[in-house]
Amino acid sequence: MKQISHLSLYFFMKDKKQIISFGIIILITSLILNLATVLALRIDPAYDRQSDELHSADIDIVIPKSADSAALSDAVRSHASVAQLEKQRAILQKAVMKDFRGTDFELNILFYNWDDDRAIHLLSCCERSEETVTNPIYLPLYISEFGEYPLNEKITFSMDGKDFTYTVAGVVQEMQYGNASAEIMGVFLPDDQYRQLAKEWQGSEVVNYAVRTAEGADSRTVLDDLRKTAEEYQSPVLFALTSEAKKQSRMMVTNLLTMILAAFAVIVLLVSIFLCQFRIKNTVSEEMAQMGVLKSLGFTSGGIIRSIVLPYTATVLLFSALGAAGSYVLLPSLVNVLALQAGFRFEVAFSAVALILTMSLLTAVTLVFTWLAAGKIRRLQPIAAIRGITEGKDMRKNRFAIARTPGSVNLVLMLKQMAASTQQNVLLFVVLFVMTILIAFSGSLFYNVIIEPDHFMNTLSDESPDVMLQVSSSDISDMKRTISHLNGAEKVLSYSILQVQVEEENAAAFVCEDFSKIQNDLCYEGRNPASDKEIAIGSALAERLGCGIGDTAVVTYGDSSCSYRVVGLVQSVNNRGEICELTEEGFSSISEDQLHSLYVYLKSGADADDFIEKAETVCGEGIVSAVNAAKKQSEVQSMYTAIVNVVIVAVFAVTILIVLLILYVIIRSMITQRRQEYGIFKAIGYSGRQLVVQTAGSLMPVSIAAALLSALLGLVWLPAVCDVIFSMIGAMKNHMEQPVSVLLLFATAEIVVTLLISVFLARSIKKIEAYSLIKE
Amino acid sequence: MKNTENKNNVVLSARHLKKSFRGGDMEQTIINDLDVDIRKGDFTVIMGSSGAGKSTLMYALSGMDKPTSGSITFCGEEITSYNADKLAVFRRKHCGFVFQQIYLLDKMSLMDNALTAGLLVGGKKKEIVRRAEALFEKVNLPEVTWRKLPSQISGGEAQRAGIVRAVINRPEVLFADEPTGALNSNNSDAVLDVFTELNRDGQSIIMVTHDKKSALRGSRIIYLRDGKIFGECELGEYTPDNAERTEMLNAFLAEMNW
Repeated sequence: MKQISHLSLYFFMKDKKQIISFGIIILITSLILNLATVLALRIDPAYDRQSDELHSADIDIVIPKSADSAALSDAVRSHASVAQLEKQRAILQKAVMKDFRGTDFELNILFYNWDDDRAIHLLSCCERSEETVTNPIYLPLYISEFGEYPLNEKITFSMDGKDFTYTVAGVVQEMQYGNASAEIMGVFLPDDQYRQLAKEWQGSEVVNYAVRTAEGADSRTVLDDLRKTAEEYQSPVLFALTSEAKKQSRMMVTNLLTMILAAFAVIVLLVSIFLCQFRIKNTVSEEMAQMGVLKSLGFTSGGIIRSIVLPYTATVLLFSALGAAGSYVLLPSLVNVLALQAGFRFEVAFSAVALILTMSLLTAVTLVFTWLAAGKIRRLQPIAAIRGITEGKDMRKNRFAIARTPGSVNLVLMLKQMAASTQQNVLLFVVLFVMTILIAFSGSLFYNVIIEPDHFMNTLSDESPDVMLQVSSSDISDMKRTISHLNGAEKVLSYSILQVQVEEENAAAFVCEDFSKIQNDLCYEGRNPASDKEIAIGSALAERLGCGIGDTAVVTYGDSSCSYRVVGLVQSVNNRGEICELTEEGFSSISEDQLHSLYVYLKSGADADDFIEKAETVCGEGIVSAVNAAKKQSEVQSMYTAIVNVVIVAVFAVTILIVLLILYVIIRSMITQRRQEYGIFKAIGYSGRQLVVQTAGSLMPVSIAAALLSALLGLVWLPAVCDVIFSMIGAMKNHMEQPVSVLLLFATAEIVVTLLISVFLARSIKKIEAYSLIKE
Repeated sequence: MKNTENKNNVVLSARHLKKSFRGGDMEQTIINDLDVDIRKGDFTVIMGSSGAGKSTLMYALSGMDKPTSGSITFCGEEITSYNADKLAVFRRKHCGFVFQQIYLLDKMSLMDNALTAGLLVGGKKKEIVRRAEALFEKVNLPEVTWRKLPSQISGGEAQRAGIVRAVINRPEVLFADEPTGALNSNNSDAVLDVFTELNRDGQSIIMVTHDKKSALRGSRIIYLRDGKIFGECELGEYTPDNAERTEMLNAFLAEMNW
């Protein structure tokens, strides 16, 4: 054992810089893998724990207060799967939150009474103002943090043209709604403020049926039953949510990020496997004579293999532990970003399970592959090893004969050098290929989010005009005509979003006068409705109802119902696919209500704020509210742009670091193995610069081939990956494009960086003296 | 006889040449204040006991190693101030090297070894290939060996290929460091015959050796001791079985206490 540890120390000292390079790659892998594992293991239980602590409901059903009755609540309570019911009063209003993250943000808001007793959906104040504030309000974490309304800050809700301003007195951790994708959020007013608002909006009072189901019950099925019950008692369901649906939408980004991190870790792990194999095979070939001597002295093959594998195993253990520890430095900032989207705070705690999983995986993989790579030692015959006789066929071939190969001698020597090591080429190819996968992905994001942001935004958003106007319902046609004649207006569409029921499911209905004029076609199969008897339905809705194109669906609005033929399937990320599209004529079959929402599209260069000012001047009271949707869109877009910029920089930084480490190992191995050869070249008269270029150049054909091939293959796999990612969040059709020029541009940038790194690292060849041939 | 001092005939000269190595606080001087002139067309043999500085002197003169002080003028150029890359360019044009360990590039055929040096200076590839072929024939390496790798031929063949690589650029001076040191007697003779023939064709040669048989091929013997030239002997042109030359060399070496 002592002999083996001495031998291990020798192998470590000999290759220490390269083993440390391998260690750094392991550190990166471990860091990413541990991040992914901690997120996967910790966040989900933390979410459930938080839900349990706050005694959150499994089902929330909002019905108008006028439709509530003791009989209905008795019927709900008597359902076999309902364990607990609490009725919570609230005021439901579609409200525009002013200056939400610098823009106006429209959402359905439930104003709850902060002072009401609660047994379900307990309120936990994570921040509370120490000052006495006027008109206090308690905001959920998501609105406070994402909307940028800190403690003591004012928040204004604009509802039907009236503004209500409150001061943030506290921030509440709630698990009832979570984030904007729920399309509905709850805020909390103290009793006085609540009463004032209730007086103002008497017709908007609602009751939230907060239901906790019995253990083992399927909340989706229970919700369906409760809907039927509500229908029986003629109580329209305004909103209904299950805890699973909430969790799915709140955890979407977290789950997506966990998957991406895990994929990233696998890629880097793949690189490190190839690297340690390459290094060990090189060590065996560099130290062959010594191994022959060791064998002749009586060392067993197993002993030599163990002594070679040991430094790598120790390195993996050390650096994977360091990487895992490093992940806890990054976790708080990462979790803060995720908390914004998930709407709940997650305490970063050490996970021993994650650490053990990460370290075991990395150690096991390294052990297996280093052991396999060192297996060659078993076949070495002592005397053959001492004489340096190898089994390789490479030594018997003179590749790229200079006399027959066209090109300058430097070029041919470069090709010879390239052909000298298959192992090196395989390692380089794999590294550049897999790193280009990441580079191509960031190239795709760069193009679709920064260069052509509509591709990304149109995938995530619904119809996005420049200005959204709520007009008084009496004179919408006149108003539309007036607005379309205003300077800057390109087109004006009547487009409204209303809550309807499709069969027994709640859905958002997008009602438009003419779907052929819309800018963001949400239809991914079939077509948009064109006549009064046609409907297009959302993906989730279609799945739930089990209906497709050609079937009929009954839509209910208020008390009226009508049957429509399904002509298309549409997507909506914001509404989780629970939508439908109806023409105005079609909608008129179920409602005589006048629609009063106009979408205005401006000419290029026209300013939305100026336009709104003009419209308000011309139309006066006719405009109830106006939203600069372009600004809102651009605000959201700038958030994605910032994220994508960070992703691109991070991907490039990691790629450069990994390529640098790999090239360091390759070039260092090359220099170690070819030290004498470089001395001979120098003695013949080759300059240091020629040899540096020759060496760096010999790495380029494989690097270029790997990068370009991987980038071009991106044309095939990137659309598939985008399809998978976006379909996971409900976008069955995405507008992402993969222009070959952008992918090649990013791959070229990677190749240039690889060349520069190679030249930089190969400069140490200059230090080799021709005279060292004699000295050594 | 080429023993007449003629300044115009000097291809390489060193003045106050010093070469020392530092190891910690200790400085070991190998060459000390040495002056020497190498004449064009001479076959100069450097001899001396082990550690006398034979190889050190030869590699300093060739620009392969930098002297500690002093000056070296080679083909009219003062080369001591040259940096590594400039020296490399200088070597490729004016010097050829033959090593005891041969140092052929082991992954390249003999032809590629020769062309690696030959094409470095420039010129048409076809012409240089033809020149290499002619040289291979001159050193008695049959065509079948040209495409072989160094590991597939004998030591003598490899050394003759090394000579082809060394002279393919028609260097001013061919430097040879114990060229027969690793060869058996038959191969040694064959290699020395090549040197003699090259010298007859006008090639200046500087050879380091401790072998009397090899030294006998030289026209001028320089004997080093303690980093200085201790003695010199002009043997004149080599002819086989020349007893007079052998006696002259024996007498000289005896005088040098060799």
